[in-house]
Amino acid sequence: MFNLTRRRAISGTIRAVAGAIVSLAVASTALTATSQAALADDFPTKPIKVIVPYKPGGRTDVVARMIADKIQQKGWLEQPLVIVNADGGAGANAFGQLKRGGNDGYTIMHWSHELLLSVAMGLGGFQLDDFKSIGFTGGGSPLWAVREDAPYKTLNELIDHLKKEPRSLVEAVAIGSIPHIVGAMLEKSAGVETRYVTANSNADRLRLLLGGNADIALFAASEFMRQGENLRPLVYFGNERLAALPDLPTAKELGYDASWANPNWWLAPAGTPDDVVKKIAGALEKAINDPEIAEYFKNNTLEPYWTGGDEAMDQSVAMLASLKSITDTLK
Amino acid sequence: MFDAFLVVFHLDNLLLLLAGTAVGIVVGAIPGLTATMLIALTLPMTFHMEAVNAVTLLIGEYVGGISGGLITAILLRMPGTPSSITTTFDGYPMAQTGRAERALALGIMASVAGGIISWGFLAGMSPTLAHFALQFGPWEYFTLVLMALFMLAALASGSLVKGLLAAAIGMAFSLPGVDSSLGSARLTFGSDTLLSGFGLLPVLIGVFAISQILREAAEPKKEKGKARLPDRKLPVHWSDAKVHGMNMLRSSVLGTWIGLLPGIGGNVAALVAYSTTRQLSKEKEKFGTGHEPGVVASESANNAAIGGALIPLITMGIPGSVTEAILIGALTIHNLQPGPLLFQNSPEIAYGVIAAYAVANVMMLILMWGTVRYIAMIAQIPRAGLLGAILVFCVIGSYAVNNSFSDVWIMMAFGLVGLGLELAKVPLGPFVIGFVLSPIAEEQLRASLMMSDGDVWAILHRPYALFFLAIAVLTLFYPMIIDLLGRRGGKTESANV
Amino acid sequence: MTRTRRDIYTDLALSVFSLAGAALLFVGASDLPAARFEPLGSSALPYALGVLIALFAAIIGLRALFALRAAMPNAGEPSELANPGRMALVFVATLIYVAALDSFRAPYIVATTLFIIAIGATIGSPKPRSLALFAVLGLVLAVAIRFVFTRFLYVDLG
Repeated sequence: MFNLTRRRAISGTIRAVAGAIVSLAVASTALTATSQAALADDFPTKPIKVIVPYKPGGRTDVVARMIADKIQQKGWLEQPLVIVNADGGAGANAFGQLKRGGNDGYTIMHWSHELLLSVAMGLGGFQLDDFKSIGFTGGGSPLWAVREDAPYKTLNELIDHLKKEPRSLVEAVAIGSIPHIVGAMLEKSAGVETRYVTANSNADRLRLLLGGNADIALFAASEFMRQGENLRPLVYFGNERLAALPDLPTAKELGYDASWANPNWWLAPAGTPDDVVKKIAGALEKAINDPEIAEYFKNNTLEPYWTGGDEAMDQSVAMLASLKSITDTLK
Repeated sequence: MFDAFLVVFHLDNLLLLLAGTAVGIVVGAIPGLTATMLIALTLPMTFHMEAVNAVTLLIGEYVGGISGGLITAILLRMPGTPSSITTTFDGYPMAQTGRAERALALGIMASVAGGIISWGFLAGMSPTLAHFALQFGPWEYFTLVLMALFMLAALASGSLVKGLLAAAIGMAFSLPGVDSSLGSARLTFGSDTLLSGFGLLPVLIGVFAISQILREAAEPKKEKGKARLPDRKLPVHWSDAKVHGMNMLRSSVLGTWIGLLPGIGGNVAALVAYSTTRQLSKEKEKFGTGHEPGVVASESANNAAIGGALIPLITMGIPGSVTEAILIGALTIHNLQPGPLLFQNSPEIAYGVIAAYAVANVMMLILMWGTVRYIAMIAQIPRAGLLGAILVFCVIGSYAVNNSFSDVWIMMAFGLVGLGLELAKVPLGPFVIGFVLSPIAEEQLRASLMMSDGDVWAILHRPYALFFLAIAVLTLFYPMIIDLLGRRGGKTESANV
Repeated sequence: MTRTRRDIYTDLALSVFSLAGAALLFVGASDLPAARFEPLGSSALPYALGVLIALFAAIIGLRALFALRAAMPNAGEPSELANPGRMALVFVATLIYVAALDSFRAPYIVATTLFIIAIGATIGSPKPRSLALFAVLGLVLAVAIRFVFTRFLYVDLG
């Protein structure tokens, strides 16, 4: 008796479970079908994935999250932007995710001009024409700093020193990374050379510089603002001076051909429909002009501005050419 | 300052800390899911919290996550987190010989001891220590890691050639990817997937968890005699303080110091403490067979490393590892500036971190001590369900770290590698050590040579580096020296085990 | 001490695999750029490890070959793996599970439930009663994981 009821209950369970599995399968296929039918008119009908090619917490990630938050809060798109972190392989992992998502506009990417560096170095397996540019939402530039007790007060003093004693100073860079390339632009233009020590992150550069194992290091301006105790900035690599450090000259002002205005670049896979890209771009432009976002940018020494997709791509193509002139010497 | 300290004791912070620690322990204990993953994935949630709340939650997760790893390391020989690898060496053999509760109890005690001791350093002398650690350049890093490598060479049990082969294979698997000293691809054979290299997590999950599951699957179906709980009290006595106290203290100090060095984390700390303890022991041969000091050393050091890593984080804004880098991210999202100014500008955060770390350790003790008897029952869950569930967790865990299926495939491949090595009686210890340490050693050596323009003798100007090098060489010849001293009838240095 | 044939063949296999790996290291290292910023360059460590692995593998392989003569037959000695077939099944099941999620984008809950049932049937018992239990376990686990990861951790599972 007991056994019988029990067996019946169990076979009931099996049937229930099987039923649940079948209905779940049906439901999910139905879902895919409708989402594929969605067209640009009523785009977006489901959340848009934004791929960030780093672990969470860095600038590219935080900016993407701030802007996504603002767009959702104000309802500038009917669906939320969801940030997906895909670190690794000089962007190869993120690019793989972007391709996997398809070019219907529901999978986009937020990166910076580091992308150009991956292309220039031949890493990551992508080219510029694999992407469709949505636009820049502002950006920020780095600066060169030395220890406060260093004997040179200005960039020109440092360069004079390097001219007198070639390769006498150590620069903390990871070879083939932005700090290396930006520094190399300046050094090429000034006709000097430094020695290197490997530093793979901002934290590494800071500890090597403060500990006396390096003499020069590059920092994002925002990083310098919060960690710059005992450091002296020498030159800023932006196109114009930084409001927060009005006395710091730019490299261009000093007559060197070196600038790096690393923008926050929004990208879609090549072949994404124009009207979908336009719709996303519209929301991004509104977000970057929002006073709260502008305030955050100012506090973090980033410049809020909007550059449309095509112009952003043109600027990037030009930047890639000048990067290649440096990276080609590495091969 | 004291007010800032007390912020943590507000109810909402205490609850978050409790929740964070509890979730951390569970996630840390599940093979495949790690503290780093948990913290990375909960970071977006903290976006909308108050800064202090966010930090307390994350610190709780960190402490809980590192501590929870010991559970499955001991019971199933699958380290829940990479920091607990060395715990498997002696913890699992202990569990197999019916001493599971003893191993768990010692592990928990050691974890707490490590936490509290490193908290002492964190609260008491952060600025001094941080500035000392700053002087370490590439030569010091290189020699330090070399020292660890040499110490660990002694870990190879069984055939010496196989131990060396294991280390070399481990090192070789760390090669593919972007060469960090040159920024260009190396040994990727044209594959974009290999550009990310073989990640630490998929490799460790594969080698330890997947291969262990496969071997268990091949075992006969009949139930093995599982370790039963002998009585309701946990087998730890006051006398253990005398037996293991010195080891806990030494391993905790070592763990704190290694945690202090940016770029070297809890897993290296545990490895170094384990091998140091072994080197100093009179009963070297017992290590790896279920020797208590092995568990104690490993678990005190990996928890102490957290406190150590928090020191450069709050004093200078320099993260010690990926986990700390994410913690810094949590602060910057809230417009806070980790670094020297944190104590002046937002003392509630700076002291909040310090206080939260202490409280999290206490909570970890209460949570784990209270539940350890139930935790030990994990080993008695029917295997079929348990192994399936762990496989599911391994898949989701290695996927979620970078949202990448490549990592899952790498994990599967390394499951086979681990299985093959075990079947060929090649020890996994040296394999993992080579895999973890050789990238650091290579990068730092090449950085040193870049800095000195290729001059090897530049090391002569680096006293700390020379010191580490001397210890490294000494370790290599230690057995011979002991032998010599012994023959002269002199007393050997007392081993504090 | 004489070793069993199985041990020796395992050692030979290890040696062959390691030699192949060493060869791969040499091939991979041969087209790396020359050292530029410091004397070692990208290729020094791969070459060094290739040499070491080849050396150790050769020692193990040669020892195995010599031992082959003195080896005892395998008579009666139980294999280390009592049931390699079941092990292979578990591995293949996991491969199919991952492939289903990756390449075919199978719905997470369905795939996971079926996977837990498959593993349960392989390792445990294929009786209907236990299968039902595994199905419940799988469904609960899958729903819980999917809920936590998509709802709280923003990881998208199909």
